[in-house]
Amino acid sequence: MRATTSVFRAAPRWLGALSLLGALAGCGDTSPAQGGGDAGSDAGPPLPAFRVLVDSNRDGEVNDQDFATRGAFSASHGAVFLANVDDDDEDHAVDAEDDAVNGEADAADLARIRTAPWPAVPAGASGAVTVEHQGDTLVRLFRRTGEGFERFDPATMQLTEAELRAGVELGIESTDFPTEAWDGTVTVRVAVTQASTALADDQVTLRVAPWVIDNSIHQTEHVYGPIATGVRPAVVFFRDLETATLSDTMLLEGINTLRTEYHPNRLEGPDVWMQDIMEFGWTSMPGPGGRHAMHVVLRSPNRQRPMALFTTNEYLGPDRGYVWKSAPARDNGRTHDVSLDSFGNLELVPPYPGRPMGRLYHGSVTARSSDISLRAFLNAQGVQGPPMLVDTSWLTVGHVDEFMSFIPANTPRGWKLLWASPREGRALLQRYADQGETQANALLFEGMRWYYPEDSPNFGTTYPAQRRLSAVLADADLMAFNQRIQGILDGLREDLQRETGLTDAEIIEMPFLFWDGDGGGAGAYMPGTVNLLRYGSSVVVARPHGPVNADGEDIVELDLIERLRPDGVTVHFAEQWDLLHAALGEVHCGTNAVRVIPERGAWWEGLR
Amino acid sequence: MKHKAWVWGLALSLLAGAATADPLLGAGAMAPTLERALQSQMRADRRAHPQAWQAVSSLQGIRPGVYRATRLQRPSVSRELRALGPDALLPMLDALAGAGFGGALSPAEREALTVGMLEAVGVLRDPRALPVLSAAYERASGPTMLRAAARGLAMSGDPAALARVQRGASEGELAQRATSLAALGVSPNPAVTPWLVARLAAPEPALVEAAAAALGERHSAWAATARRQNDPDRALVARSLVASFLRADPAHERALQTAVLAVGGAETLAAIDALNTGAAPRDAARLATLRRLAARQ
Repeated sequence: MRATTSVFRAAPRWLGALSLLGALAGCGDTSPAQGGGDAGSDAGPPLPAFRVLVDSNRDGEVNDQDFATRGAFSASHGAVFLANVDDDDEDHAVDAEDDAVNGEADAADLARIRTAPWPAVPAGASGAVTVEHQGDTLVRLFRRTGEGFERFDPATMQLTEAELRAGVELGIESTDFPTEAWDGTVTVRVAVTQASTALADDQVTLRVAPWVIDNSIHQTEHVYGPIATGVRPAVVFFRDLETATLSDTMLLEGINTLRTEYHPNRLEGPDVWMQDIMEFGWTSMPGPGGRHAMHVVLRSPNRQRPMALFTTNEYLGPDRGYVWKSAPARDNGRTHDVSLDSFGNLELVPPYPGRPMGRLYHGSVTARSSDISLRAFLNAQGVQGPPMLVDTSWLTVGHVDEFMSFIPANTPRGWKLLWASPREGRALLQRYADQGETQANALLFEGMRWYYPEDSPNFGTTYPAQRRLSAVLADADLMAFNQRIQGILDGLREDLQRETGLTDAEIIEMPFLFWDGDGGGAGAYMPGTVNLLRYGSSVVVARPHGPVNADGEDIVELDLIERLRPDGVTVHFAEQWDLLHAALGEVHCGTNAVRVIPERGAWWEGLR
Repeated sequence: MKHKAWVWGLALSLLAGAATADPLLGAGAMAPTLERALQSQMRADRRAHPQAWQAVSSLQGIRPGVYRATRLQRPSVSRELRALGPDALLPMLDALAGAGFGGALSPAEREALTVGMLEAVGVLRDPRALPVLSAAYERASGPTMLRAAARGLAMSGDPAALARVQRGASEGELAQRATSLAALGVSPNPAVTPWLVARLAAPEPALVEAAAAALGERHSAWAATARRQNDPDRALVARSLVASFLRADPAHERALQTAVLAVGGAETLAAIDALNTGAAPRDAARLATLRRLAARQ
């Protein structure tokens, strides 16, 4: 706990406006109990003399125009407040962890509750405030005092006669987003009494804003990549990321994966899986200038992942919030698989009819499950859920980014689906092999090695990956395996098309083959090019190491460029075989992106 | 400097790993006579192929320093072991049922090592592995181990091994029967196909799914193209699978659909068309979707 009161400059302009309204309309010695009240608008009924107001009409201001819309929360009406999870005073702690208001920026994260001035309040009156909601999330009130705010504890404090007369401004914050036990709704009630006589009573409802996951086709603010100085595969990968992002003037931030806090065991390789440790999103409420929002990073539930401390050590800051949901092992049970807690396994289908905020999807495996508290959290957010559970039990790793992603497209829908396709991979290789003996004898993965190369920190047993194209195409076991995987993918694609209304023309099949690993699970055999980083009209994909033609060009690279060209997408290739592909991941797994919070399309418009 | 630290770390972990050993399948997995015969071969093999023995003993995929840096974050050795080829057979059998594998292993590492070795041993199709695979099959402690052992036995082409897996697919607990049944997809014996087709009429959906998966694996049109061989049984298999698809309830339809698509080819399209003639409206709609998906292949 820090100081309980924080004073700062803030002009209470609303008070003057409401006082003026009160002076104009609140005529004389009246109270609701006595049948008096303020005149309403030209068309509306008279307003009660004592009334509590919140920004129900979502215009960013709290005034009598909110009175008529204080009812049920809907896509168009209802007051919102925030889980105050950013760190405006940069003390490396979430603002809601203390009961102080830490400066102007922190105050701006409080939604306002106001009592209209009641000039005729009887002498000796006082107001008791109660805050009611389900669940055990802590919701705090603060009371404006001059130019600052102080904690207002309804259990021990009351509104005074003077405050009721002049009108009082409260601020409200939540310490958390909606939970399994709480849809985010709170009721704030003010009961005015004189001695033991009830004089007036009024209440308002608000709802805490949910955590909204970033939309991968939205404008990108910046991207992240791993830095591991001295680890050549990581250096090569980051260099390629730099080349791509520089050419597109996209901001690339490197995360030092070798920091001691992130990499405490020097006997292990660095954790380069930038995608898996965190998921970016945002939260917002109406504000004076439009919407008031903050980015919020969701940390992976995996407790054995020091790299995820980046979220609090470096990301948390002003307007950059943090949330973490992680259940202890005993609550997660025997079937919990921490790999499924990785956020390459949590993505968003961009908006489609009936789902204006898009829909979450999450990999699901019959015999294993992700963290129980993560799933409860996602379900509770509402606007983009419940998550569509996609069967990933056929994959060794089991993440949804292994077979699907999205790009913006100049179509009525605005996006297209990229979908893994062994069918297209096989056809591409076969077409080339059919051109002649030279082509059939071309090498796939020339010079590459499985497992860890000599310059890797994980150097050990390695073996050549390269094979002649003819040998790959004649590998009956590999082909049978891929045909089965294609059958699974076609079924999943059918589910997705049924859910979203996507047509075949809105799907681009990305050519690569899978192979089987432990227990028959599938993983990308050719680098999984669907598992990519998207920003602007560019994508960064794995260098495929396909067969090279007489002109020295990789035929898989040429194919990918042509596949995405009609949609105006520029393809950058990044060398990531040793760092990511050989370790069961690809470009998306090793990167992350923060998207711009949309100015239009507030989350409440997505209420179902 | 950092690189050197990791290399030293790995070296230390390898040294530490030489401390203890017991067979991965437990003591007494093989009959003493078989074990003695195999041990004699192992001594000779260790001299003939020291690199393979070294490679098996220094597997990377079960080292925490390695697997924790992969995206899976779990031990994984199947691909690494398969890549070692036939020279690694006896070192793997030694680890499974002989002198064991040096080093302290966590339960997850031990399971991954056992399953990975059984998978790698199986694909070598070497008769010397049959006693070990049989022992693993009888002692299987979980579905992945049972699967690996059953596939190894089925893949071998050995009649007795095949009969054992078929018996396992016919008696015992349902989940274990299904695992054994699905493993028969890799048997080279052509008589297995009609045996599997008959299992499509089983009353238990789990067994129907397993038989369908096995048929899908052994009659893939893509695999036949790879082999450049015609598959005379594919028409029968396609008809049987499409009929099973139509009989399946919604909870099990997807598994049957996957099996149909895993077979694919012109025979599958013909089978769908044949069953669509006179089909009830609901079935016709299901078949239309199935045909659309099959035609993509």
